[in-house]
This record gives sequence, structure tokens and C-alpha cells, in this order.
Amino acid sequence: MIGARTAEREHELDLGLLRWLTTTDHKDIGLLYIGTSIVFFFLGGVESLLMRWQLARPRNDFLDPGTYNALFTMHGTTMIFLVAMPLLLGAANYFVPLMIGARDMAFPRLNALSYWLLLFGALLLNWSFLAGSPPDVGWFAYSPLTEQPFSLGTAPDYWALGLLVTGAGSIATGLNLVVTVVKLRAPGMTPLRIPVFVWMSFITGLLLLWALPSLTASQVMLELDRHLGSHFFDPRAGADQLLWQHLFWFFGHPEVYILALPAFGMMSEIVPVFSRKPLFGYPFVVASGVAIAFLSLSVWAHHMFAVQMGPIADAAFGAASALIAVPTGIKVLSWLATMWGGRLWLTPAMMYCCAFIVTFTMGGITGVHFAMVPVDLQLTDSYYVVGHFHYVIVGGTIMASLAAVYYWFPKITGRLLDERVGHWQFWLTFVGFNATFFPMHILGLAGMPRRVYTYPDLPGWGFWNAVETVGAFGLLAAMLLLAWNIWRSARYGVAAGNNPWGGKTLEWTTTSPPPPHNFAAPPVLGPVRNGVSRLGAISTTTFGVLVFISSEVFFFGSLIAAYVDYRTRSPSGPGPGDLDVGRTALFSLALFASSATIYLAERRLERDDLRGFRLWWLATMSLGVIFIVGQGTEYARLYADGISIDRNLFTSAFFTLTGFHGLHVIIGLVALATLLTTRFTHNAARAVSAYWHFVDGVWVVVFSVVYLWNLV
Amino acid sequence: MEPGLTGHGSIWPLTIALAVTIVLFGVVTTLVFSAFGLCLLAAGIVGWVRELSHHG
Repeated sequence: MIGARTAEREHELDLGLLRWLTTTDHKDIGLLYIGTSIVFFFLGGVESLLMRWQLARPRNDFLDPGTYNALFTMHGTTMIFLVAMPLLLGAANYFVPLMIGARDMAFPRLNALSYWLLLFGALLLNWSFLAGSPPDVGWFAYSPLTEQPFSLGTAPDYWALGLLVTGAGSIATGLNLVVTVVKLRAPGMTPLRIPVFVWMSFITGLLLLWALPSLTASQVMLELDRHLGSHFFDPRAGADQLLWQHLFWFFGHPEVYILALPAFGMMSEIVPVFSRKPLFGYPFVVASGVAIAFLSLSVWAHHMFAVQMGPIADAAFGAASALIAVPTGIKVLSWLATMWGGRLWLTPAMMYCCAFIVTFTMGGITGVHFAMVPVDLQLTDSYYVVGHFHYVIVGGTIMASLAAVYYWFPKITGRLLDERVGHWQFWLTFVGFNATFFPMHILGLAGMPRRVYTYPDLPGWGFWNAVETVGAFGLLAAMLLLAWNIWRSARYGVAAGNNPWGGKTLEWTTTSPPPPHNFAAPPVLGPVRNGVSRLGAISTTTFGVLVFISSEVFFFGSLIAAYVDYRTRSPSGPGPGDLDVGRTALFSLALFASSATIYLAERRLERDDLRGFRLWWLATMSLGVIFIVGQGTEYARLYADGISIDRNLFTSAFFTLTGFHGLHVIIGLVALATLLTTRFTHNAARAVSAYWHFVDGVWVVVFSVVYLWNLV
Repeated sequence: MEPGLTGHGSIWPLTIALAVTIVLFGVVTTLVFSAFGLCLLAAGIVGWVRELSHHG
């Protein structure tokens, strides 16, 4: 309700800039994400318009090749990491707590940290323009192009480090979403009562946690190559030229679903409201989302058919890629069946939903083309690929997000967007979108390669490129019209009331905009069960640590995979035989024993025996220190023998893997010491203990692979 | 939800994110930035932990 701002909210608003810099409120952070996304949307849009102007006619010289390379790299990187992801994470931030009846996200400060990491990572990436060194290696930055001999400047560093920072923020957001949905749902919100958008945000959170670490690991390896002389991607040292591609696409393909799943969730919320029918096949829509998430982690190599992986790998990845169309098709079927026989209310939000079904389905079908290896080999690196992924990402994510803007704007501001302007804006977007991206399929089939700054005057090429350029400027006009509609409606729009559309989810039961605490009274959907489930017995903090550990498994998995690949690959120089297994086994025993001592410390704490707790806690720290000192002396011995990270593939992988494990032990020691010197809760002690057990567990695997394997 | 945090803002998330970025900016430019970033990071972590401890 407009004007329903409480005194508390007025006080918060009065704080001005300081409030925005220090806020931990999920709604503020959601708006910060969305605002940042809009700013970078216009930046990425300008980059694309410059490219389209260059390509408007054959043999154009508006841009030089180097500038064009930088523009397509930054356009792709910006639109994926700084526009689509923050837009969807912003929506999830704002609405997930509201839709589950929670006061906030599970970890509000971590939520704020996630946003600031995104913003500063984005600024670091774009600082490259001011430094005169914008990344120009493509959004997937294939090695060895990014290695020192081929990229002497700092461009790949800005790309890798900027995205490293934003990636850390996204992983933290994934953690927060997962913990929030599991731990903070209103009483009675059983799994089959959870709104689909919340389900999809939860699954997206898991994908962020499990897919992003392989990108993080590969960026770390790249930076070690560029600054410390390691050889992960160095062909002169015999590096595996597919390692980067495997690690990148293990992240890259789930990333498509990180962008698509929240869009599916938005569709599943909006279509039933404007069809005035319940969602058709709710359990299947949810289950298909889960299936998509797991399948998406197993299809990465369909981006690599052109590298000749062999017929078995090609067949397996091709089949899995085609299979993913089934759960996606279930969702499309559900939306169509929901609309079928419904009383359709064709608001701009619903129009965008209809457009989504057309454009995303087309993007999905052209995606299935790429699951067929012979077709992929013909079309790879052509404009057909560019057309396909723009139909998926713009036709999917952006169309659904635009529907969500019209749907949820009244909840955020208390006012309706102008519907007449909305319809104009919709048609301009729909026509502009298809004019821009449909001809790319024709050009791709005609053989036009992607990533060329100009092209010969072949039949039809100039015409279709000109059509695309006109379409792109049409899209610009549509987005400017939307911006104007938002600005004007936020000030002068018609009052919306609390529930203008008759929505059934919890966000519509509170005021518009929602008060600082979201609900006057915490919503209850059903009876509160007596007793505590196994999951409910775990504290939010400990559960958060466990979720984080699941992400760490994928980070260490990437490093271990690289080690296994490079263990004996070096043609010369040091190898596993140079390691002192016996000596390392001794200080490893100290680390393994520390799991027992920290367990004993926990038991003492449960009995409120603080003295006993401190003793066992200190014993754990001492054993951890013994391990670190032991590892330090091992490094010193190796360095004395001339064995350092820059010697060959083995040393690169060995020092990186064991070094990162050592870093985790040190972080664990800091956490142990912090807990001992501050006022702490039992839950905090359990959370630190869970992390410490994980650090020990990782060493069991690392010690086995790096050291014990040598004895076999 | 983190205990006791409802309604409280915090400057430490911004501080830590800025510090991490400065550390990495130093990797691209000069390690002086990295050193400054590490100091800021330490201050941010201490501030966060103290705040957490203060709010219970």
C-alpha cells in the first residue's frame, strides 16, 4: 500500500547513501543487484551496438579488428556475468524470502558481501578499458591464447581476476539461497507447497555452488601460469590443451541453466496468474527442474565436439545433451497446458510469457541440432551458434525477466507500470529481437563465421547483417521505452494495492512495498510439527558450512583432476618419485588425529565442560600447526633441491593442489583461534568443527593421490 | 538467519569485498595495492568477527 511506510522504514530511508552501503536487507540487496544489472545492460548493449554498426555492411572499417575482439569479449562477459546473473539473483534475493514467509536471507551479511563482490569484480573487469587493456580473448578465454606468449598485456588478468571476484560472490549467493530455502520456510510450507520460482532458485543455488568452482580453479591456474610461471595451459611444456576447455565448460553449460532455471520459475509463477488456473503438473515442473540441473552437469563436452574427443565420448555427450530437451519440454508443455482453457489476461507480463514460449523453444530446438555431432561439426563457430544462444539467453532469460518486471514492479514500488506503454514496448522488443537474431541462423547456414570484424560481400550477407543492425537499434528503443516507463510509473503510476493480479503466493499477502520485516506476523501455512527432523536439528550456520563444503568438493575436484592429468605427463624434470612419502605420512598423521581431538572437544562442549573443550580445541590447533610446519619443511626441502612450481607440469599441479589445501588448513586454524578468543555459540563451534573435518577429509584424498599412489 | 542481525546494517561486507578486489588489482598492477588490500582485508575480517560477537 502506498504511503504505508512505517516510522522504522522512514528512519532507514533517511540514512541515504550510508544505508545503501551498509544494508543487509534482502530487498535492498535485491534492488542493488537489479540496478547494477541494468547499468551493465546498457554498457553491454552499447558494446553490441558498436559491433552491429561495424557489421551493418560488408568490408566496413568503423572498428579495427583489435577493438572488435575486445568488444565481443566484453559484450559476452558483461551480458552473462554482470547482467543476466545479477538480474536473476536480484529477483531471487528480493522474492525468495518473501515467497517462503521469511524475514530475510539466512546470512544477511554474507548476502551483502555477495553483492559487493559482484560490483567490485565488475568494476575491476571494466577498469581494463581505462587501463587500455580490455580482455580480447572471447568470453570463454580459451588457452593457450590467454598464456603469456600470446597475450603479453594484462587483458586476460582483468578477465580472470574480475570474474574470480564476481564468481566468489555468486557462490556465496548460491549458498545463501540453498540454506534460506531449506531452513527458513514458513511452518507448513512442505516441499510440494514451495512456489516454483523458489524451487528453481534453490536448484540454481546448487548449480552455482557446484559448477562455478571449476571456473574458479581454472582461473587460478591461469593466473599462476601468468604470474608464477606454472605450466597448466602451456603447450611448450606439454600441457593438455583440452584441460581449460573441460574445466571451463563444466561450468559453462550449467551456467546456461543457472540463467534459465530462474526464468522457468518466473514463467511458472506468472502464467497461472494470468491464465487464472493453477499450474498444470506442478510436481513434474519441479522434478524436471531437478533433472535439468543434474543433466546439465553431465553434458559439458558437447561444446567440444570439434576437438575430436572420439566416437564414444561424442556419442555419450550427444545423447545426454539431447536428453536434456525432455525435462525442458515438460516445462513448456506445462505452461501451454496451463494456458489451455484458461481465461487469458493479456497484460504485458503475459505477453512476454507467450513470447518466451516461442523464442526459448526455438532456442532449445536449435540447441538439439548441436547435440548431433555431424551437424555440430558443420555449424560450430558459425553465426548459427550466435543465433542459437541469443534465442536461449535473450529469448529465454531476458523475456522472462521482462515479464517479471511487469509482474512484480507493483510489489516493489506499490505502483503499476503503464500498460499501454508496456504493450508498445513488448511489440518493439519482440520484433526487434527477432529481426536481430533470426537472420543469424540464415547467415550461419550460409557459412558466415562468428567473431569476424568484417566479411566479404557475398549474396545476402550484407542484407541480413543490415536487418540485424536495424533490429538491434529497435531493441535499444524498446529498452529505453521500458526505462522511461519504469521511471515515470514509479513516480506517477496508478496505485497497485497489495495484490493487483490476484497472485496466490505469499509475497502478495504483504503490503506493496513490503515493510522492513516483510510481514506484520510471520505467515503460517499449516500445523507446526512436534519434534525435530534430522535436518532441522542441524543449525543454520552448520548447514551453511556443509553446503559450502559441497562447493569446495568441486573446487578440489578440479585441482585433483589437473594433478591426475599432469602427474606423469612432463617429458622431463621432477616427478612423483621426488616426494618424501614417509616424512609426509608422519605430519599427515597429526592432521588426521586432529579430527579425533576436535570431536572430543565438541563432546566436552555438549557436556558444558568448557575447560575440557578448550584443552581438546587447543590440541586440535597444535596438531594443525604441526601439519603446516611439516608441509613447510617439505616445501623447503623441495625448493632446496631446485623443485619449484615453474619446473614442469607435475610441479605446477603438485604445488597448487597441496598449497591450496595448506591454505585451507591455515584458514581453519584462524577459525579455531577466533572461536577460542571470542564469545561463541555451540553452533559456531560445530560449524568450525565440520569445516575442520572436511579439511582433514580432503587431505585423505590428496595424500592418497599425490603420495600413496607412488607406492603402488 | 544470523542471530541478532535483524535490522542491523554492516560496513564490513563492503570493506571485505573492496579489500579482496584491491588485493587482486595489485596482482595486475603493483603489489603495493595487494599489501594495502591485505591490511584492509584483515581489518574487515576483524570488524566482522567483532560485530558478530557483539550481536551474539
